[in-house]
Amino acid sequence: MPYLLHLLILVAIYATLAVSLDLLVGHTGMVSLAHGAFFGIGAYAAALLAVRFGLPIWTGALIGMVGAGTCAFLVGFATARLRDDYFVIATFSLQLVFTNLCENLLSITRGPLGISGIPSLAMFEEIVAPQTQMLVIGLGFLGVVWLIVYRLAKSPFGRVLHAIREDDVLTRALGKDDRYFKSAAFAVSAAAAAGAGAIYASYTSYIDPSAFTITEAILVLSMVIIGGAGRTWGPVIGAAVLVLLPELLRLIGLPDAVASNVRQLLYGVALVGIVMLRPGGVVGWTNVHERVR
Amino acid sequence: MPQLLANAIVTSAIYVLVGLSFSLIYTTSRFFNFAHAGYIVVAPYVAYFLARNLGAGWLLAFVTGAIAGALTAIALDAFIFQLLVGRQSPSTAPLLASLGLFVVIQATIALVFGAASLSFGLGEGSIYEVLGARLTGVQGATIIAAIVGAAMVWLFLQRSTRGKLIRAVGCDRELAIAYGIDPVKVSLMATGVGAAMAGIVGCLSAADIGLTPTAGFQLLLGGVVAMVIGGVGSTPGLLLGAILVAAVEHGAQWWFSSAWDRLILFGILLLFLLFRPAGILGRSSRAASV
Repeated sequence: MPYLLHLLILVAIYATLAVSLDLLVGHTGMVSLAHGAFFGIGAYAAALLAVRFGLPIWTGALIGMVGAGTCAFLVGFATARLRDDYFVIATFSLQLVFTNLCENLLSITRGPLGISGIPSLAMFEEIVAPQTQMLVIGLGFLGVVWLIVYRLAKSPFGRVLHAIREDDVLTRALGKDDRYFKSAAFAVSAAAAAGAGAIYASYTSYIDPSAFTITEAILVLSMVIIGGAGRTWGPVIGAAVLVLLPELLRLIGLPDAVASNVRQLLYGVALVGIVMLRPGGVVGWTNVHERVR
Repeated sequence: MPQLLANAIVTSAIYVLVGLSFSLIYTTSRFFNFAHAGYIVVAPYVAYFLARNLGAGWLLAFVTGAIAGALTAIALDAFIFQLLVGRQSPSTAPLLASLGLFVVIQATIALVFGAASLSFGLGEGSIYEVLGARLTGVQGATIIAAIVGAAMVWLFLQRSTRGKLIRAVGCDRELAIAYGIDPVKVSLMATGVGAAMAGIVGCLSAADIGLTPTAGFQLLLGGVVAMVIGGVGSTPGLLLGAILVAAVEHGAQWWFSSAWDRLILFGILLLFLLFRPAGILGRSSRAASV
């Protein structure tokens, strides 16, 4: 039972990441490989502020979200005019820079040793089991992020994002400042990812740089694409599939070293297969016309 | 100091070759192909298998490996990337597929050969003293390969008919079709040549410093940074970029510590992307922006 709860919490955290990334990939057409970095900013901000300065963990989480959002807004503003490929390379280098900083700023992040003893967000230990509380918090945050992305996509703001996805030069010609819209979408997306990072840090109580690398960024991007970019439930389903599928490997009894490679193999094949055969993602066929609306 | 310089020259030679092989493919296919990191490591792993398990000579093993890498790349290009390009799917589709392939190739190699570093045992063979610096035979071969490779690619693209076909498709795919050029055939040819080069540089680097499944990724990063900094599509720019990247890397290792070289490198790349996306010798800043 704790194992099942653990899986559900992981699904909630990764689904939050996927939903927030989908605001960029699915709705604005910006393929970002820096989502692992914003996830990490949230986790490290919450962990460091709590462990070093004794701030309540939720304060650290909020500060991390604001910090990641600000950071993303600036980066988004600077990179908004880069063409597809170059935007990918820019976010990709940002991700590598973040990992490098985590690993080498030993005095702050303790590098590969990681940070342990991160307090839990669960506050009512006498009433409900901490793990159950974490699940409620994770699902609650997922719900909030999902609702924000859903409402944004339906709003006038979202329509501009969709217009940018189809043709950003035309959108600019129609008098919408594409830079502002792209940066704002980037900021919202990064802040949500940072929130997920804080929840992750407080749940595992220990973080090290390996959880926030380019591999993680590619994994979250795969979740969005496999589930269905820009679809209402796509990223959530993608996250559930890619978190739960590898657990089947564990049930078969593969050793961990092999299992992690098989897992990578599976999601790589799934990513290629989806892009080739069903560009709309696994939920693509259920609501074909949604994209037009 | 001469040793530092020699090391930087070897590194820049490797990045020149990686950048050349990448930009050959990029010219026609026009998307950032992450699978290239796979092309770089397929060849040395095949060569390692041939030499260690079947007792082939290293030279034969390297050549066979490069051919195997080129065939893999051509197959992937024909059955995946060309279909995506031809289908007029969103411009990010081939890039996403290449990310998936990159993960698949890396995981497959790790499953078959393990993630540990493999040594070819060729580095210590012969050491030469050149102007006060010590170079191994493999490092010397790398420098020569880079000079010959750069000259040959430049001649191939500028003078030969096939090279002109590649540039024509890269310049304007539609117009090339109107002139009766089959862009798919030309792309496959460019992919074959580029991937064979990637295989050769993969073998050279593996013989020098050893081989891991992620080695291709590390090499590709340096090569791509060199390509972007120098200016995409410009061979002299690539040379300049590779020298700059190698100088920064070894300089950072010399003055700070080896931990910071990647950080400085990607910091420079970000600055270039923000302020001069076309690179040092790139033609137009419009190339990179919307």
